[in-house]
Amino acid sequence: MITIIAKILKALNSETDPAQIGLAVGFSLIAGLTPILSIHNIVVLFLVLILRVNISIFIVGTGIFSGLSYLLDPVFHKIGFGALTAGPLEGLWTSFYNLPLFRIERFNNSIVMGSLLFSIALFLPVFIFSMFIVRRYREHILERVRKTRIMQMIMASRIYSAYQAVSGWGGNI
Amino acid sequence: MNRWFRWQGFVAFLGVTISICLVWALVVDPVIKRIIEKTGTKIVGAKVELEKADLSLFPVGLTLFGLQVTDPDEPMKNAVEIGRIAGTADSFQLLRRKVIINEMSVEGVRLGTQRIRSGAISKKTEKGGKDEKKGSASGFPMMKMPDIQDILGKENLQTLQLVQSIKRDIESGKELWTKNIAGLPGKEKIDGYRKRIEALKGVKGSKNIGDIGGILGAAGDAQTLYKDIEKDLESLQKSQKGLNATLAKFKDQIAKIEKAPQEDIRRLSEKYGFSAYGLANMSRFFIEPGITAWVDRGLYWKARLEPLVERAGRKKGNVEVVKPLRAKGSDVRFKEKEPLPDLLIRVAKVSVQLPMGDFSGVVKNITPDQDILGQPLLFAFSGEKLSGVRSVRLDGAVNRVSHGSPEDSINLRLEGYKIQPKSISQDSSLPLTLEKGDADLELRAALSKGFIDATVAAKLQGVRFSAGGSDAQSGFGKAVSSALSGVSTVGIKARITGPADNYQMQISSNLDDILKNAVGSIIKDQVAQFENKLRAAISDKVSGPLQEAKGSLGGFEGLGTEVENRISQLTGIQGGGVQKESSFGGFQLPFKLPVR
Repeated sequence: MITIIAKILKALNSETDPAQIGLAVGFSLIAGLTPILSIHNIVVLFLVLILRVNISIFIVGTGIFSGLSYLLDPVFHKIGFGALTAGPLEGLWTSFYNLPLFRIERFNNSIVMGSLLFSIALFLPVFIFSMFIVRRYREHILERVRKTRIMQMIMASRIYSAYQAVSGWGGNI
Repeated sequence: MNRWFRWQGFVAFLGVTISICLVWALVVDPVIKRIIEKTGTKIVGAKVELEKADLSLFPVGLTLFGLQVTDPDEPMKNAVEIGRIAGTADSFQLLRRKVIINEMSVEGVRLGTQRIRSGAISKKTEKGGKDEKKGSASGFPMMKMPDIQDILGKENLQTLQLVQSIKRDIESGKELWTKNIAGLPGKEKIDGYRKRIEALKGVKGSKNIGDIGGILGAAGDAQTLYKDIEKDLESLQKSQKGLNATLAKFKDQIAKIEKAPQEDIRRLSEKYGFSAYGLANMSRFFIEPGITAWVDRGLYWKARLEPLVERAGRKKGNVEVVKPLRAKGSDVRFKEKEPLPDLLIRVAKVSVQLPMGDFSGVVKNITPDQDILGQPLLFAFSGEKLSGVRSVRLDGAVNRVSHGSPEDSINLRLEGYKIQPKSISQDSSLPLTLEKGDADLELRAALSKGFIDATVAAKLQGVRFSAGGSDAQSGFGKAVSSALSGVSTVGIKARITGPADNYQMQISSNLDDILKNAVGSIIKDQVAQFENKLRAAISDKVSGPLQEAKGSLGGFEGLGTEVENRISQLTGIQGGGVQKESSFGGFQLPFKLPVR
């Protein structure tokens, strides 16, 4: 856990491209909010591994969004149910329903559909917002944070030792 | 390009995927076991346990070992225990999330086995159809006079309910009429009319009366006044009529309620066996509890297993919305090119191990989506040359093909059943036991749209009854045991009809006449005594509230008097003050007012 926090700090404080952090948050949003054992999450996992996405942030983000998804289930049900029973989309859903891949995906479940639509809709805004936040953090906050008494204490702690250790790895994973 | 891609991620992805598959292969059996236990427990309302689940991938198949389903009413017993269930699924259909099993074998089914640990779950089990319907144990209820106060304490008297209801109606009626009457012409308006009359009378002394215009003006005012009074009089008379009708209606209802105790007496006498019907059908007192228990048990398990044969779905436009048994949310089902149920066991070969021997059969079309399959669930079991039974045949259908028109049927034919000693009356003072006999039994039952229609015909030969207890040597008990001792053949016919939650049972048997001849006169006295005591007790309980209801009618009479008073005042004014063809208080108009 300490190593993961250190990796997150490293990603935030290093030269890691803010887009890589933004993508990690965006993908973790999909993986965390939707049922974890879904076909689309295999695709998400594939993309996370193949693209230069920050994996530490993806792991932590997935955990946070998974917790949040339990609270949002009623909202997902409403969104998914509305989409699945919308008259104009019936033809599309019917053709999906007859394809094995989509049946395995369980797209016809209101919570699967609702959470997927919700997370896809938020993917781009979250991606852009995360990039913006990382840039603002590096420009305005990072130096001030480093000078705070708490940060000084942390720098003397085990987390900082771990941080220093991972800083030396050089890679961006 | 490399700024965005890390090609070693392919290897990592393969590694992660293979790891997930390996973990899945390791944990899938316990996961399936857990899912079956959890879902089964939810359906049954008591613990469902599985010893082991074994999933094979080539071909895709599942074998379950040691399934135990607790009886929710007897947690130390299993309702059913199954040694092994095995079946293979259609691999292609699995990709469509459809579990299609062409043949399944269910071996080593045993009923009512003992459990080592209790199978009760902490959540209180809903009793469902297992509620006691008749509320009586087997035995002759008329043997002893029950405590009338005890009966009245636990029974809802229809008479009392009627009295409470009419009291409420009278109070609300009074309130309504008080409001209505307050809105009718009252003292102020009547005084107003008087003033107007006085004013018209004043015209008489005026010097302007002499001219034609003055006369016509006074005549017009008089006509308007007359019409106003008449209008008010009409509305008062209309209200008086309505008030009298309401009062008459309440008086009529009270008169009917005074006769209502007779209906309560009839109903309670019937229920507690103190009636002519009870006297003519005494055999039902020890046959009915047994049949009721079987019917209730059947209905209870039917309700419990309902989710397995019909999913609670609802149509929304062209699609159907169903609640999945396990997952969250709702599943929306669209039109399929090749419609198939999500779960279908085409044939299940079942072997049941009963104490009397093996009983085997098949169950076809097990699915919660019969509407998609278009075929009902069918079952047929048979057993020959069993120990203690010559032959048993059981077949039936559970039809949910058409939503909203559920139809179930069951037929049972039992031949040459050797009766083991069985208690037929648990009354401690006169316990009756059917010691031996051979029985042939035929049951035909249908449950359609919640209505049951069943017939049971049984013929018992070579029977022997025995009676014990303190009452067997005297009076009623002696007469019953003596009558039954001469019986060797018993024929029973039962018809069960009505809604499943409140069915009626009619039973006839040759024992009716035998018992009636033996104890008829004793029981007639008991019946008369019971009715008299019940009548007196009901009268005591009802008389107070009934008097209160009658008393509250007095308020209506007060309202009637008030209306009557106003009518007479207005009539007086009309007659004495303003007359259609008269002067204003003696003042003669030179023409007549129009006559209506």
